[in-house]
Amino acid sequence: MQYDGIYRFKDNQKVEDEFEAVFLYEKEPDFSLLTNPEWVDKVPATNSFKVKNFENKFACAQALAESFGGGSKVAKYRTDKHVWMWLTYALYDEIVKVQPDGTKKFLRYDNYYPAPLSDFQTAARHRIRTLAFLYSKHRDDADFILSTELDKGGELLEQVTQTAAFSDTGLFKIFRKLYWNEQNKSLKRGHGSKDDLACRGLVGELKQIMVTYAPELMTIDEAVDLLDPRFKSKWL
Amino acid sequence: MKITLKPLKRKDIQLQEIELNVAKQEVGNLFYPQITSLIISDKYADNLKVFLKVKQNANVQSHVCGTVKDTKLPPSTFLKDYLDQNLSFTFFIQLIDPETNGVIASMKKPQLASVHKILSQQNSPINITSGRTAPRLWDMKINPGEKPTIYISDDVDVSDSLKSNPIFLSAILPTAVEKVLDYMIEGITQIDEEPWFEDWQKLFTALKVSFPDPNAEPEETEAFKINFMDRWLKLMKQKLYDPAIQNLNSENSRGDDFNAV
Repeated sequence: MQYDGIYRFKDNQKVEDEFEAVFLYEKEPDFSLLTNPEWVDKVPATNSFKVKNFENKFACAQALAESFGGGSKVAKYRTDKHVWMWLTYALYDEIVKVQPDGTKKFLRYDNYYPAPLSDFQTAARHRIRTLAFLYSKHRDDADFILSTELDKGGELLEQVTQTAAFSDTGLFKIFRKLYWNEQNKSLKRGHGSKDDLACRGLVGELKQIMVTYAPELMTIDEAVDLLDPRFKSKWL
Repeated sequence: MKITLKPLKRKDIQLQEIELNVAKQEVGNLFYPQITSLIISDKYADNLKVFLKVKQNANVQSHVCGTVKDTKLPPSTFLKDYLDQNLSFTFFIQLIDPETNGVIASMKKPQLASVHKILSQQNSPINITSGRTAPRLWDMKINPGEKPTIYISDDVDVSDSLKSNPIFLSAILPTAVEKVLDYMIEGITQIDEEPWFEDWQKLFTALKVSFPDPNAEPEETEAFKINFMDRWLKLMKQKLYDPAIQNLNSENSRGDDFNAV
């Protein structure tokens, strides 16, 4: 399905009810609403948006950025809940997958409904808004964290987005350096395991280092040298 | 007893050694905060880098604002993505050794910076400010690293007067305080790492109650909560409850119907 731009749902109870019915009570979506002027308004100065079977989150984020008119424009809509509701609804088939037994797998409602950003840990779980922000802020360096399919979560995404400090570019790149295989363009095996040296362990290690150093101001290699040497020997 | 180890002899930057001011920046129909002044006490070595970290919701940004001797403001567009209607953010400053990037001095906890005045933001255990809460009249957020904040709907034109309205405060504060206590008890093992916990410790001391140890039994934490609420409500009776009752009764005597929907 191709849209001639990005739209936002109107701010009314009818929209809230429809969204809840689809994503909470599993009603079949009515995609005709997405261009119905009684339900939506077009977001000015946006480009066409094509919903397709995106290879991964990164491909979807790139398409979104293009439709918004560039990665930097995404931030402008950060607080516009109804834009993200519209995009979530439009991408329904990509984020709600049919299981082998024919049923659909739904996650917690806040994976679909854009929670207020002030509740950042809940807000970070949104399926579409978070990937758009990550791409908007880190561009091509977000490839590693957005390398999984749209309907999948992922330990790395969870760990990085649940600590606000890691949205800083300098720290974000440390995760990429350790867990991303640049040649194969894939995440390294075991990055999300329960091992102390996997991404969950890195979160604790970095938080400790940040008390006495400013890794954000270092080169990647300098910052990696501050870590427990086992990180380097295991992953690099 | 908690002992803080500072192997690099890191110093605490006192609040009075920093001044950071914010104004409202307007570009088209977008509004965001802009840092308009940043002053660091000259008691620190001239060559230390002034490292500023700011946070709004989950969006953290950082900027080196020159050195102690030659402090520079971030670009006016530095906070252009901070589009929350509150026009507020938290900031944290570290002074960094330019050779090693080690932290020489650091603020003890992040502080709130806002274009709007926030009621008693420095020492009050809870912030009160305006925000988008509709269809709720108020809402409360407790995020790690940020002081618990009550948001009053920005649809209320007179939200400033509501912040000191005894009827409103009497109605919401007990629930809000209980919510913070539950949050503290739930995260009892790390709660003393929260920068705002100090303000609550002062309140506990003033009310002569002790926050339970991390290994306290559930009965002890429950007893603490009940004890604290009893004492706090007694303290608040004169300040909020009595004025609220007086206010309500005088309104009623003028014939207002509070049962009307």
